[in-house]
Amino acid sequence: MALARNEMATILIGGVALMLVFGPASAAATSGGVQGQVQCPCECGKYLSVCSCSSAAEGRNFVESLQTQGYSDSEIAQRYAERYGASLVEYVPKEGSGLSLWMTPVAGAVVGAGALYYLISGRLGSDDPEGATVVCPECGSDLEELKDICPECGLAIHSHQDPFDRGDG
Amino acid sequence: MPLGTFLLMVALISAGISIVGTSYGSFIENTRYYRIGRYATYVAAGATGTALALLFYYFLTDNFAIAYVAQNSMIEQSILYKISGVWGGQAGSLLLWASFLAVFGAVVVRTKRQSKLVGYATSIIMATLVFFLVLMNGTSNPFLHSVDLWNLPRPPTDGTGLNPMLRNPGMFVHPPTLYAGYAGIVVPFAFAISGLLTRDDDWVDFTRRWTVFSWVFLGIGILVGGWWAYVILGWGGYWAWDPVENASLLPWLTATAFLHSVMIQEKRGGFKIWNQVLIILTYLLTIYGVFLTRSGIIESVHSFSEGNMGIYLVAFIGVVGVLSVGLLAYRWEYLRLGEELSQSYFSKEVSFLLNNLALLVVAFVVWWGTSYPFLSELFLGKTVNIGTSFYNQLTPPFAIGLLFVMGVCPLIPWQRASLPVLRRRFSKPLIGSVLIGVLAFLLTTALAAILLTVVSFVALTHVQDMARIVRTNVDTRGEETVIDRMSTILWKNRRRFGGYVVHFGVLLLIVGIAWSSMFAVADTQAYSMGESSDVPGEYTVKLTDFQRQQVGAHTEEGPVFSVFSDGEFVRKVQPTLNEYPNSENTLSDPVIFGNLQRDMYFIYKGTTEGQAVLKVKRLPFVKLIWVGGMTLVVGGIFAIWPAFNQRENGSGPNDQDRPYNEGDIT
Repeated sequence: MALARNEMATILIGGVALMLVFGPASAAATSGGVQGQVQCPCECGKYLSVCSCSSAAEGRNFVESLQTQGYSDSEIAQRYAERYGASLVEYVPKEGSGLSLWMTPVAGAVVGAGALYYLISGRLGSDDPEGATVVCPECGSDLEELKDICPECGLAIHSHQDPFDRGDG
Repeated sequence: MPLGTFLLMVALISAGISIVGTSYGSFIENTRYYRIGRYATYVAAGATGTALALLFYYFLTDNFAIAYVAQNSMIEQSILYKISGVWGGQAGSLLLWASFLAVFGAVVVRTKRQSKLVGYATSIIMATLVFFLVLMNGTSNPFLHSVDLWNLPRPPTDGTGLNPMLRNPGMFVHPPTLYAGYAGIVVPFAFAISGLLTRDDDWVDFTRRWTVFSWVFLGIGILVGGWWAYVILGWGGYWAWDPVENASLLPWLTATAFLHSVMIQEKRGGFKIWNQVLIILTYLLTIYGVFLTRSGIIESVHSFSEGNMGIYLVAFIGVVGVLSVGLLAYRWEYLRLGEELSQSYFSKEVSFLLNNLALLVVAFVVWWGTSYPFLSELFLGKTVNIGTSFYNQLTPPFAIGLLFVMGVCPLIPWQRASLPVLRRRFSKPLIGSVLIGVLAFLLTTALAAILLTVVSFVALTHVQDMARIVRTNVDTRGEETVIDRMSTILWKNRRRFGGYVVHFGVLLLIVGIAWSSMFAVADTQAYSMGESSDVPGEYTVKLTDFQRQQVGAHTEEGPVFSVFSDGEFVRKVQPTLNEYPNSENTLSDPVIFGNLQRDMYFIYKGTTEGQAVLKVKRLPFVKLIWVGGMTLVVGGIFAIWPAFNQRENGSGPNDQDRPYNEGDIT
């Protein structure tokens, strides 16, 4: 039995939504930490985590001493800004003009899912087995008729039985 | 004129002749013009390769009369780093890239039978080469004399040396593999555009191995780059979402999407437009990577911006983009022919497209985050920087989605899958993975459990499909043992199983990344002489000495710690801070030891109030990243292995001078 279009649309949109729900949770676990959010005090433009200049060592020590004292990332970023200047601290809020940064990829994903649905739905062939192309389900090769063995991939196939169940058959 | 500059000029002129000869010869179907173009391609490859060899010679002989050598080498540097110096700066790395491109062009025109498809493709490869040669002859020439460039009375007696951060064995491998991958991408792009011009779909068969080759080399380059960051940057990580790292990841992601979607065109003749879009996008992202690295528009840990070539790169991207899209629009109706995708939403074809969606969304996130700072400055007048949290929040969900689709792909049939078929094929992997997930939830965290569920689902579907193929493959029924059957089937299905090995590599990589991120433990403490303390990883460290020494032109200083486990002495570690006065750099040289289960990472942070500050990180399963990466590479090589021992249809030197026949010109 073939699956209906609305089921496919639900799966696509639901899939994207689920991915976005998991986002913040996974981010909490994989975040690189505050050193990836602030720039080196030498104003070279590099992240503190990767800069190799002398000032970077001092900046890293400052951040790590605050971490040792139990400050949160946002508190450390605030202290870093007070000490070295606000322009070195990266913080693109999820509001105002910063919203475009965060929402554009999400919008891209939703548009992509929609486009994919449109693309697929316009290119589905005959759903009627009588009129459908005969294709080896294993390798995708065109067959003139359903045969026991696909000449391309050598796998045993059968028109009325899933080869998965056939064992050595 | 310096010899090197002369060689670059010869290469430029030859590449120009090659473009005219191969394209005009193909257009008017004239073998003589085509042959001239082919020989010009060889000359261009020879001249570019000789120029690169000359630069190697200058580095190995400490010829500081050449400004580029003086900037990237010094007498005391080892041979390894003198060689690495060749691609240690902008001009040399462009020459390396151009050399790969020229050689690939020569290989294409040498091994493929004379046809319009090959002729136009060669001219497109050579056009890209011309662009790089123009850049080198103009803004980025590695052969300029230091006396002329810097108005010196005589050449310097020593150089400033290779950037200290690049003095690592990884830099011997990382740039060449990356550039081989970048240059290799040009070949399928050129054939795709040529396919559009000639309305010849054979470009897909011609370029599959080139695409996998480029993808593998890009992968090696990215992997070695990550390893380099891990061992030399001294912050205990391997991926910082640095713009240049991102620049290499972007074409790799779109090439991965292309490798999957092109299978639909190969098998079913569908999605021609989509494949064209993907390969054009991959090519443009490759050039965009050069733009990010060379234009100076972004600061990065290893960008080499010198001069002002950004405008040329933007112009090139614009021209190629407009021409490619225009051609695509012109051939739209032809490409739409035979565009039937499948007979059901649930089919292998659709699963490939879902894979493409996830890959492209990840690529878009990376592109957007990398480009946002200068787009914001350009359009909003605001300077912002995107930290790692942007990528870390947005990429994992789509990566998990991608993993899930990766598990579905092997078992779902082409064209259509009914619910009973899906139930039969996926019930065992689903039940198995859920059981593993529940177990993981009891032992670890919810997020780790979700990840392990998906990872085990992918692994189980692959194992199940391999078992099914062994069971049902009729060609091996005469074989006596399962191992015999398995090896025969593996060898006969190199492409399929190579892909599966790649997938297993990806799984190891993902688990390594996830575990080393989620369960890393770090501790920073200050130590007085003789003081000891417990650190992560069930170790105790004791400060026993402090050393400072001059090593050539730089100084190394750092504490010596004895490491104990359960009271037993394990080893001594001496992480150092190295000062390079020539380049005003201070590099942390960490000590790393461990096993497959975890790495211990010791970083010296300097002294405070007479105490040595030591940071210790315990990174579980980080080695899975390198093991997974190597598995991925092995799988890729396995998948294209026939390219080295099996002549493609109608190709070979004997076909080179064969005149055009009916059927060659389409």
